[in-house]
Amino acid sequence: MAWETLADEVLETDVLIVGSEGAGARAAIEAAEQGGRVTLLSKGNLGKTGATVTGDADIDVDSRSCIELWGRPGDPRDSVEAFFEDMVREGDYLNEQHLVWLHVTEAPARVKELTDWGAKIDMLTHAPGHTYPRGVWIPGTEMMRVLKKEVERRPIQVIEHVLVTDLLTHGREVIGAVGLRLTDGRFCVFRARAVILCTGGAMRIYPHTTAPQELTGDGMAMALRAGATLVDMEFPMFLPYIMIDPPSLDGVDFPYLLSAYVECHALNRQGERYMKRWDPERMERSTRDVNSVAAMVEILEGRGSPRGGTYLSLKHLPDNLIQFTAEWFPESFAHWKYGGFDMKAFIGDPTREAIETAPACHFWNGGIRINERCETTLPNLYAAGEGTGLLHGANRVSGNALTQTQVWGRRAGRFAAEHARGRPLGPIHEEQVAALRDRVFGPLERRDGMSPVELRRRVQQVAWAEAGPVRSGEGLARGLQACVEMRTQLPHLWVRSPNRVYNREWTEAIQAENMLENLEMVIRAGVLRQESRGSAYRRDFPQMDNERWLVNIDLWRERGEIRLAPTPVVVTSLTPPKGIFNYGFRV
Amino acid sequence: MSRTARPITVTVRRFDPGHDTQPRYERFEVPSSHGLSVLQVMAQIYEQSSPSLAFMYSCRLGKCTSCHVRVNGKVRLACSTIVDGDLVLEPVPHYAVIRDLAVDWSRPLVSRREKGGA
Repeated sequence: MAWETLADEVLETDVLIVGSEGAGARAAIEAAEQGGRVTLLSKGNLGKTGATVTGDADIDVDSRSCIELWGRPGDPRDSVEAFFEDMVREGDYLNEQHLVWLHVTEAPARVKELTDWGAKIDMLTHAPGHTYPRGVWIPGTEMMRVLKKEVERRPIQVIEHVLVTDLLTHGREVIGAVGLRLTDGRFCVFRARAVILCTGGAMRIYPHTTAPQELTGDGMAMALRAGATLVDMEFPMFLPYIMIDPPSLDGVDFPYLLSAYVECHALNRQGERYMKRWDPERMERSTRDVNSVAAMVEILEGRGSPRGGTYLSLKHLPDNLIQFTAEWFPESFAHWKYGGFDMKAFIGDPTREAIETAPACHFWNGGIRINERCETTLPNLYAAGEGTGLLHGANRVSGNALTQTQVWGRRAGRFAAEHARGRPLGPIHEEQVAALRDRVFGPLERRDGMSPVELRRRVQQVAWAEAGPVRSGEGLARGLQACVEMRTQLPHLWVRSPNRVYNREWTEAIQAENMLENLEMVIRAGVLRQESRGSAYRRDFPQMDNERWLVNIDLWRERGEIRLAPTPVVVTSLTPPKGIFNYGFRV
Repeated sequence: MSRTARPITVTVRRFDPGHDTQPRYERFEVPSSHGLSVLQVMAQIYEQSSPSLAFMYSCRLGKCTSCHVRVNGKVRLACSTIVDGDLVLEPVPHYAVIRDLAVDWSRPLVSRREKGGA
């Protein structure tokens, strides 16, 4: 077995989970409950990495269940049916409806588990897009504190600082993965009976994002390379009203939170409340996708602020009201505090000045295609959480990302563990391991070439200019051309320092390729969809077309080429309205 | 413009446990600007002067707590600590140093006397 000489370390397990946070940790807990060996890999440290801990954050449960489960003030008119309808309507009818039904009906039990495990919850929030209050307030850090504790008290092997670089396959079957131990540069082969990808979105392809630095779409990229089908990749989600200046605060969503609690005015450089052209009734209280698209149009058409944003103003409100806001604001942000930042130093005096903000990439609506058992299109490969598609359709409602991690993480853990039971480990192919190893070590062994930092910047520049919330056919074509050119740079990526211990540039070299794969998927799906829906607006096709485009765009790679196939949306109970509609008007 | 002040001097403790017997302190000049964070300083050194600099961070927003470092002797979150003068950056004490400023959060040092540096 010569392949073993290529690995610095070989591990065998039943269920291998890539990604350790909300979805991954929940999958590990459930897989461990089912028995068998469970290995949980983290790119950083469990509970200190990934998107979950950045949640501010609400986790959605229908209001009626909130009353029944915790005796909390909610709205008894709410129901799982109403939650279902909101998700589908706000997703612009691209959600796969039987997945949505499982989601809303299993959400109460999943959130109840968190509180049974000791999670502290706070008030119920009513976020835009929800007919009733559904956001049970639980910071991501609190959720991860509890999940970490539950992982640690079960027989789960947790391995931190592992960058999984690719999946191992035997024919179409996934039989494990390869990766790099970031703390010493060892190349590892992980053999597994089932693999679950819980690696999150690729928000980092955009220069402005609320996501942590490591959200580079690794799982989606390696699924694509292994032959899996992805779906809805044209719909990265943007959050409006995000700090852009100073650069240290780029991605801070404090102004967005402000806008959720008090009535703010979004202004262009002419002082115009531009939302009146998009959603004259709800204005800034419109959904997040519409607010982001509207702001981006102002920016692209030259009506933005000096630093490339638009203005968010509270100046129309009385001074004492603004001052009082700082007192009743959710505790974590009270007195103009955010994380460790004292926001007063950066937003000026809100009674006099507006804040410069821009949309920032916040979430990945699309991802790996899964069914109700979290099976992907490849045997033995499962996926859960943000890196999967079909649940949110073209736009996710607030609070549903954390719910997704718990409902779908548990489902993935359960079905993967059942599937793994009694299965043999697949045969490893030496030439495959050799090729994957070369790909990892290439950038380290080259003696000159292109810096991964430079490639990352170029990806981000192209993503923002051509594949942000607002696009055009011409721009997307330019973006695609740029992707083709950047792809030719990949064999020349060069890591300047040969040190194998926690070499950031080496990690970036591997991530840069994943970022490029994800950007190309966004663009290719974006080119095909000739309409405007949810988080993706086409200036050349500004209407939502339910006659032609009630489809999910499947995307996969075949013999080196990306293939696309529009597939009709799965409808169970909520029939989408027929016709062509103006963008932004929920139907 | 009041936004750009004089460059700041940043002294960084460098140490690779696998190769070095002694830590060393390396000095860098970094341009200062309004609202510059310690994390940005580390990122600038990494991108522009010393690509081998090892440091850890994730969320950039003061939440994940993976970017704790010692700033002028005090343990701080690099992302939300705003620079107001010259800096001495060292890894946090009481955790095993992976390299330079990166520590292994899952390996607290048993002995409180071993502070991982100066």
